[in-house]
Amino acid sequence: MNNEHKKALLLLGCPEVPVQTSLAIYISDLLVKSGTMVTIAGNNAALGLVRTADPAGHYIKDTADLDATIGALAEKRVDADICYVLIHNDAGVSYLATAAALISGEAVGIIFGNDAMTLAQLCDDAGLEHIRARAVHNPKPIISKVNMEVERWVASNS
Amino acid sequence: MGCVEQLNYEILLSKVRFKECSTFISSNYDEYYQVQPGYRMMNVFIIGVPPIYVAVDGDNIIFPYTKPCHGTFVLTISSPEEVKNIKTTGELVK
Repeated sequence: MNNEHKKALLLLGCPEVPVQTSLAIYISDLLVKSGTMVTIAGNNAALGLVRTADPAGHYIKDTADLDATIGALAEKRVDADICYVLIHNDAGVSYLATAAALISGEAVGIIFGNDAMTLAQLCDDAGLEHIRARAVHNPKPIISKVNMEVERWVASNS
Repeated sequence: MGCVEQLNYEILLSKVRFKECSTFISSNYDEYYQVQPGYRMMNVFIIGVPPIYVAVDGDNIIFPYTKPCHGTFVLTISSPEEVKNIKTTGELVK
């Protein structure tokens, strides 16, 4: 697999659900190993958690402020071949819809937390792509789906 | 609230789902427009699930504003310039 010319964007939600930070690092690692350039965007707290969990930068290569990233996407200064939006609340669905409208590539929601089913329905209603699992503290329920999704995207862009 | 903190806004609806904001705007204002996600208003980029509504009431502009940890707000700001912009760039719904 060689995706060195592809760019991925991970949009983080509020970091109140424990699995988000692990998922962000895990997805970033999968994408980086495929040769994809990865930027993780979030608010200060969400980015602080991922940076603290990877102090040497083994998995996290580039980070950006969430609001600034949305602005850059809207003004076409930034684009992505794939945008994964980590979703565990209603706001996350809004970010996914916005990313889907602004990037030239795919936008896919990674839905977790206690409201995963309700949020998945909101995405379905809006025609937004997603995977989901009711993972809150333990990422295991969603990891296999993440693996399949990233493998699917990498394969479709090889 | 990031850049919006620099603005003299009033909160009309607080910490709700995006759809409730759309319903609030379409139900309470006689003039409102549809904009695309990423529509820029002052230093704020509107985030949301289409259709995204922005209303006008005199010199006031009424719009949804989403934050990752707090859900969506409906804010109003007095801005004749933004009212003029939305009238020319937004798609009139009502």
